[in-house]
Amino acid sequence: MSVSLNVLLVASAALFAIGCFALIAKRSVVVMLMGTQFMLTAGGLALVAFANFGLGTQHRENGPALAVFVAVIAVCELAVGLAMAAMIYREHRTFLTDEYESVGG
Amino acid sequence: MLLIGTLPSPITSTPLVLVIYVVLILMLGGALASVLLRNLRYAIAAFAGTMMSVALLYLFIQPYSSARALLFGVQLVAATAVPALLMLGLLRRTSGLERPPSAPYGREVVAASLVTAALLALLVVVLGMAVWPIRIAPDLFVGLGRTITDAYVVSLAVLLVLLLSSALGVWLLLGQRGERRPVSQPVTGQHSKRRPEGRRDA
Repeated sequence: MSVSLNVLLVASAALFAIGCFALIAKRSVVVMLMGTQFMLTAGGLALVAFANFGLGTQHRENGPALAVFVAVIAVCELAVGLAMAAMIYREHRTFLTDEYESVGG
Repeated sequence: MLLIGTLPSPITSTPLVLVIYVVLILMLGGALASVLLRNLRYAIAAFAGTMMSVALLYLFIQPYSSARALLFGVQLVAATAVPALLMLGLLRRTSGLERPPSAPYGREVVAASLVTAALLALLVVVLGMAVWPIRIAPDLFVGLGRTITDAYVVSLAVLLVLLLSSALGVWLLLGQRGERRPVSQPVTGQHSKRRPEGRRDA
């Protein structure tokens, strides 16, 4: 019993799939934004896994460095997305996307 | 590109492997729960648990790397605490948190306290096992921190610009006064009664 690159990549793919499911199948804007966070986090997890168990071991700090950048960019994206959700909520009084008739300006 | 040297061997220490598998199961279970739960407060709690599991995973899968302290901290703060607080703030501004969830010592509060205490205890155990607080300063500024500030200077600058732009965008969006959509007029004449506006829940 061991933990190798394959185990972490499978976990990363599963997390990415859950995020994808949230983005495609769910109706709430907040849950969809959570899905994007999961997808970005899955990418960061794969980067760290490659840096520790894969071909990235010659430059072991690079994978985690990119994961740090991904985490901060994910926060930026979430902040803007939540602000847009708050603005849309003011007009439509719901977070459910299928009740938005138009979100254009 | 040729690989110089050999790949590192996988983690085989039985307690560490068991802990990693438990954290992986918690991560995926929390992600599923946050997607499937209908109550947004519970979904946000599950989201925070998932992200904390990822932070713990970063700590466990690189036991000898100097990058783990900074990565763990960034994941805990930037990917767990800040998004959870942002989402709770959104609910507070809009719909979800006006009502107190339950009595001060109701079942939900007790369950949340137990989960929080368990996570904190796990964190203390991890920190105790890793002797992390003693080595945090050299870890931060010799390994990953130095890589980021030396090799990724342009990326760091771009990241700062992104952070500032998103902060400005959020400020502009939240400061904007949106116009309410006009409520549709009743079709019938003076005898029609307006329906009270029902509040649709999120």
